Amino acid sequence: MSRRRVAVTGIGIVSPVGTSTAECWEACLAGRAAVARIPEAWLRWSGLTSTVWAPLPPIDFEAAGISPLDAMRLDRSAMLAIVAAGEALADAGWQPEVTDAKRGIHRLSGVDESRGGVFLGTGVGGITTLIASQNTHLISPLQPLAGLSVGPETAAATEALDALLECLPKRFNPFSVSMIMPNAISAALGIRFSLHGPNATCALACAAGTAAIGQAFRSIRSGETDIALCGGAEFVGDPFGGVFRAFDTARTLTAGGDAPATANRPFDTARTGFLLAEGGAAVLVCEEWEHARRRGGRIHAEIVGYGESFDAYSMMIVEPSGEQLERALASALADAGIAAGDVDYVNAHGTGTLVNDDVESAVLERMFGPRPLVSATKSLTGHCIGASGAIEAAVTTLSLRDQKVHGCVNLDDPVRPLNFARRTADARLAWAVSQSSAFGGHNAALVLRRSVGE
Amino acid sequence: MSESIATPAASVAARVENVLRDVLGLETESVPGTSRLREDLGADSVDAVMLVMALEREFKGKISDDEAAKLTTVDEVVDYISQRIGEQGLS
Repeated sequence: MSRRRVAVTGIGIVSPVGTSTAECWEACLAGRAAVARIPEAWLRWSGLTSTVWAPLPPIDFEAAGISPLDAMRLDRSAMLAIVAAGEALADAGWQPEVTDAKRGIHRLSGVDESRGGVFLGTGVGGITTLIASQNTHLISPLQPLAGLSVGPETAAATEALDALLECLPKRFNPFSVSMIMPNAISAALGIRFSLHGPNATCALACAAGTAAIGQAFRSIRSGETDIALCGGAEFVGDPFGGVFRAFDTARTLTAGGDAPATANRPFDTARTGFLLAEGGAAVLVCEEWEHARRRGGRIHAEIVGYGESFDAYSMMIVEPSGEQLERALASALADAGIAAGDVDYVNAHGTGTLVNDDVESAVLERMFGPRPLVSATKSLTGHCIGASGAIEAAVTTLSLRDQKVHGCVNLDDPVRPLNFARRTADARLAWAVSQSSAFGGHNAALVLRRSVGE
Repeated sequence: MSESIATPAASVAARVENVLRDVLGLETESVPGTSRLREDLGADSVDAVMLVMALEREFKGKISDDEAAKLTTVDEVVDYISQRIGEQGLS
């Protein structure tokens, strides 16, 4: 019997450049990047070096079937994942029917639920709920002081307290634990769509989305599952800029606050750091090839290989030789049964930090030479942390489907002479790679193939 | 029943019923006032927590968990909310 193949039949994306796959892809192809000044109020709590980020556009959660009650017991990261998963399932041809209104449970018709899995990546899923609940907790003894005016000497303190109380939930949320736990996102999808197979959370920081899709691919290929929802979700936009401060104080963010439009510049020699995104999510519906064909599902692309490695070097800096990233890529290519020379397009990690882009581009040059097109989706979306790898795998799928590659925004002077896509281009793409590296030292790479039927 | 301008009792009952329907996923035609939340309407411990939050959202104010724990029927919830309206800041 031939090896089981894995088809991507549904795509859902929510990102700073759009709240649907169509919107995001159109923005990528138009070169419309997301960037804005951080909220002024954040400077109340600390002086920040970076002053730009990539906020999410307004999202109509109710239209995506998330009621105001659901929103009270779900962290925003899980809500984003539900929006993306709903879109991906609709794209794959499912209209989930409600089977339990109270619990928001739906069924996917024709799916053997015991063979349906969820593989979801996140970096710090639940962190904004943690920040809100713990601040509500800490501030409790000061509640009686709200609005108290006792004279000019304390005006600043009163104002700061009032601002804090204004931002915080009035009640310590009784669902806090189930909102903060990292597995809440994959669990929310499993409950919502009645999937009883493996339900896994991949907490691999910035490589989480890539690794989650890789795990789903392996699960389907091995015969453990026939269908999987897989991807990543993240939301780091707490009202105080606390998560932003954490990245800022570690000197990882772009310093280009004077000129926001050109601050985010992966692979450019003038890059200064990454542009933090408020959040995002991408979910793919992956199916065993015949499972997809039998029900007449449209196949966007095929996942054909996955590889992982670990630097064992530093929590925050990629290992300078790039040896382990190279090993992850090599193992993904070997898994796919292709050579580096077959690869037509690399959707790179491309964060815009000095070290990442230097090491990654050196690895790409060594492995692939100047032939394949290379682009960095983060130049458009900013860095969506645990969602980024999933968003980029989704974009890579769209590139294979539509035979188009988006450009690297603000790439004026490339760090190395790779075949960087400077602007959107039509291209003949058969094989593509999407790769991620992460805090901690994780490397993960997917190989995808244009859908070619038999 | 005389109607107060702010919030007539009937509308409190209707609003409570809507909240109950949302939280408990009730699809029955009517929700009698004598219904017991737990035994008749199937509210479990998580629903009880959700119900307090949903009532706070609907009536825009704080409801203490201790007081909420004493409410066992729909009528008791309506009476409690009606009493709190105007008196302690629900609306």
